[in-house]
Amino acid sequence: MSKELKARIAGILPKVTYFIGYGTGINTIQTAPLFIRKPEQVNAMLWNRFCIHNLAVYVPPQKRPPVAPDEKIGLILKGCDSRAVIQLLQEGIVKREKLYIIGVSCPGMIDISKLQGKIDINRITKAELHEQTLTVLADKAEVAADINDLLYGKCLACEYPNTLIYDEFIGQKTTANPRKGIFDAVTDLEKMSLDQRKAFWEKEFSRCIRCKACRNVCPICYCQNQCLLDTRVPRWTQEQVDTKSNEWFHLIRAFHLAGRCIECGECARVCPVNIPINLLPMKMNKELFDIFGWRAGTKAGEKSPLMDFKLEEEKL
Amino acid sequence: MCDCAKKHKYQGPDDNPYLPYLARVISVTLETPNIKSFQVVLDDKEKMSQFSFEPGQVAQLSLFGVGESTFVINSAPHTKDYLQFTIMRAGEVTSAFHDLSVGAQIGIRAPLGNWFPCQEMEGRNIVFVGGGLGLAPLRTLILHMLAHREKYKDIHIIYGSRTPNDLCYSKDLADWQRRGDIHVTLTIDREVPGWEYKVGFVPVVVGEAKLNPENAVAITCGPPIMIKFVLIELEKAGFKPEQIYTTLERRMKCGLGLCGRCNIGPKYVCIDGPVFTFAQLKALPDEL
Amino acid sequence: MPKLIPQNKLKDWLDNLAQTHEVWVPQDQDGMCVIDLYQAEREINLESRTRFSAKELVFPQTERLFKYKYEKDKDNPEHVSVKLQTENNVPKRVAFGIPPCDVAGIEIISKVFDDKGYKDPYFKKRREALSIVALGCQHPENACFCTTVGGSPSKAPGADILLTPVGDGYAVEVLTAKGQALIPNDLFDKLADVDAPDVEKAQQKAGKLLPAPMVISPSAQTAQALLKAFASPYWNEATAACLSCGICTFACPTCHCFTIVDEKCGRCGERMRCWDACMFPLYTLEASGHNPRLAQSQRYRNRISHKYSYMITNNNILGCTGCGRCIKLCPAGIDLRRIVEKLIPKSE
Ligand SMILES: Cc1cc2nc3c(=O)[nH]c(=O)nc-3n(C[C@H](O)[C@H](O)[C@H](O)COP(=O)(O)OP(=O)(O)OC[C@H]3O[C@@H](n4cnc5c(N)ncnc54)[C@H](O)[C@@H]3O)c2cc1C
Ligand code: SF4
Ligand code: SF4
Ligand code: SF4
Ligand code: SF4
Ligand code: SF4
Ligand code: FES
Repeated sequence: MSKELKARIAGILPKVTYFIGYGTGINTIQTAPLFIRKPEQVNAMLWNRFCIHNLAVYVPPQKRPPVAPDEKIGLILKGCDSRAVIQLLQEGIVKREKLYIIGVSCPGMIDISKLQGKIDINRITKAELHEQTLTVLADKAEVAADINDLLYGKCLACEYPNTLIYDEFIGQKTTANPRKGIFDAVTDLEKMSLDQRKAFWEKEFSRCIRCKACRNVCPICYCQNQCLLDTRVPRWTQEQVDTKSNEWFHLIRAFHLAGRCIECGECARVCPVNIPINLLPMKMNKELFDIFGWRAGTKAGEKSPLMDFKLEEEKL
Repeated sequence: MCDCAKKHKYQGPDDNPYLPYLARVISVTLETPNIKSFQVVLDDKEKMSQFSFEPGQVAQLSLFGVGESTFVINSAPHTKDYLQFTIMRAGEVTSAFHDLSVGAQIGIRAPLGNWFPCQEMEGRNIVFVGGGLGLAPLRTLILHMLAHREKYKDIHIIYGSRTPNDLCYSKDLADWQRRGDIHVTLTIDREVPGWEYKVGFVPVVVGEAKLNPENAVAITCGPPIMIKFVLIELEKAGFKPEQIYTTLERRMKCGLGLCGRCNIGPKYVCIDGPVFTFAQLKALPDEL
Repeated sequence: MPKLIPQNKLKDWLDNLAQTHEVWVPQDQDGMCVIDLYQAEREINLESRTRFSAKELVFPQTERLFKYKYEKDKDNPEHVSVKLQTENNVPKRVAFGIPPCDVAGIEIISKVFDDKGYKDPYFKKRREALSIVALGCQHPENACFCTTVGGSPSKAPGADILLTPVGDGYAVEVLTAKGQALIPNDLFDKLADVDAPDVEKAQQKAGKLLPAPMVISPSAQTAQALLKAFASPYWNEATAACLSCGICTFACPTCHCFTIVDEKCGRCGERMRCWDACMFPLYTLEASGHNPRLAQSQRYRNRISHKYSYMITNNNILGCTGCGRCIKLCPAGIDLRRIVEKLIPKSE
């Protein structure tokens, strides 16, 4: 991470209870959220092509270590992640003045799982990034790959590379250069026949182990104990884990995220059984985009059409 | 484990401790607006007549289709024709219990957990301190001691609730007050017209009672906040942690030490408890 | 002397086993390696680590405890009775090609479910019906640390047969009578023997691939260390990012907590148990609203303390096999090794 970024973060540390950034992960090509409370920890911060975690998940106060009522937290947010803050502000979950946001421009993050098949990504011994080439050594096999072939799907479709809402922006802003449409994957699904789509989702849901990581990592899911996917009275979902109950679980969740999901893709990233679960909320988002032109978290201060009422709607 | 422990361990039909015995509700009593007592008999008459437990042990009561919850057996150990439970309306299972009427079929896994060591208490002065529904586990022990009154020295029961309407077991309380051989102190939180006993929080009443710790044991049960302050008062009065017993609550499922959730450090409330001395609690991680 | 089964004969053996058992074997599916029912037409994968452990073979995520049915008395419809029904049949299974850490996981759960105190009849039945053909591990992953917790990549106590990769095949060591019953004589009679020293050499090689062990023993000191660290502010620091999900517990070969729920359908229904996790806030939430483990740091502390302290006290074992799954799958990048290293002093 650049000296400038570190110096700036050290500078705001006295203003916040903690600052959330990225630190070393479990190996050289992974990072992990890092909560910094002391100046000496700033040195451990990273800002590189592996900072995939959406730190906005820690914006809702109920999802992070508590701070005193008059204190604030600081965090660094990528463009995509910052949409969550706009949405959360609009939902009244956090007050703007309780956050100190460092804005950056993001060149796109590397999805190391795209190397799976070529090498075993769980046995990496060395990794180096030179310009546009990532070289990875694993199990004595070495591969070199062009970063552009390794970017996360959402990064290929990135429309907001610069943080949308911030207190300080560090570095130069870039312009968006999407190589794919954000809804491409949803469109592909829509092209399937009803039976094909049913078969597709049944196969996916059959694997779900209901670890609820998709929900918990989502910055927009903040109901915690009150989440109706957890309550027994009234009972909306069954505890047992099978395709039907899993489907029910995910459909309810997708409906609750309609027009609120900010398309960060975290739910799919964390899924331990590789379910592209973000496609469900994305489908809802696509509907809302087609009808209302709405994209959650892109315009500060604007209300979601599902939380607002207009006498006349052009497309309804 | 001594034989006595084995005798009071739930086996379950076919040696399956997850399977309950079937039982029926034979009477329902409204104790307070949100507390009801249920008398229950096992369908299997032989099992019922052989059923034995010790004061403080608990049961997992089932309503099939709703679920299972933990309740302390509060009838006397020598009562062989029914088991009594007192249930406060709290959530899913307890609410469903409140809707039951006489004749309803339920399931019961009991006895589970440890118990008050009544033998060790023989020949000593006994102080009971209860709050609200916390009288339930104490009731069994009190009834047991009263049935063997000669084995115990002075018995003092201090019991309180928010209002007179929240006092459980009013019939028992009246009986106990009538007996000349035990001392009963009742209290409510705030002054109410017509109330002829003490007014004030239970811990305050405990402090005022000038209890003598000499050759005594204190047994307390009630809301956590009450217990916390009662312990302070008892220690002030000179009670040592070993002399104070309490029962703990923890969310439970299996009651067998297997499902995991009821642990406090390495101890499981369902098998190592629910009865603990204050000394034992002090040795556990602070996770109440 | 152990026999050497060449790669190309494995299928014959598996086909033979599949005639009498459900055979579960690692295979690739949906972009990951999973343990699933052996099917002759599908490739098996004995090279990769399975995403989850084999514990589901003895402790499935959802398991029926019994069925119930309300019945009205014909003569007196007011009188309703309940009938309970349990199942006794569990399939005979072989877990084929599971790594030593997964075997260790099953052994650890056995210590809890089938040792002293109450025994779990459901687990017991499944465990008895399971034979284990373990496979010595040749490719430790980044997150592996079995040797740190007293395990070994090449020994699998608790297994019935141990396979060790030697050359282009596997040395087959039969460890138990249950294992002997899995050996089809007509196939094995034709196989060549392999020298014990060669097997030994292959096994030692695997051990060297792991990080130099800082050994943690299941001693009273280890148990004490975490009790002493109970109030340490380090828990907050180390777990601030934890999302309280179920990944680390569900993926863990030794986590064995469950909830019990009823599901009803009209007058019938069933009581089931489903995996639960001490990382979920609802796990300890009481009806009064009180929750003794409200903060995620308290829950994480329980998870680690259970494995590295409470299980030593109660069961004389460490509750962690060092499989690394909780580390590599954690969405928040929390690394148990760092925490354990920090809070437990090294033995030697
Ligand atoms: C040792 C012991 C003795 C108890 N004795 C009594 C008694 O005599 N009378 C009485 O009214 N209550 C007693 N309780 C509390 C009682 O178990 C809970 O109020 C009850 O389980 C709530 O169940 P619910 O389904 O109505 O609530 P929900 O909130 O719907 O709870 C769902 C499930 O969580 C579990 N659970 C929730 N809270 C608790 C809790 N505090 N303790 C244990 N499990 C819980 C149960 O399995 C319950 O079915 C006792 C608890 C313990 C641990
Ligand atoms: S993260 Fe994946 S496995 Fe876990 S609940 Fe979500 S979809 Fe299911
Ligand atoms: S639903 Fe998934 S993609 Fe949408 S905001 Fe939540 S985590 Fe991000
Ligand atoms: S440690 Fe990681 S895997 Fe475990 S609950 Fe926390 S976030 Fe989930
Ligand atoms: S705690 Fe983690 S490393 Fe240890 S056995 Fe469980 S999943 Fe494996
Ligand atoms: S770590 Fe938690 S979920 Fe795992 S066995 Fe222990 S208490 Fe249960
Ligand atoms: S209630 Fe299951 S372990 Fe105590």
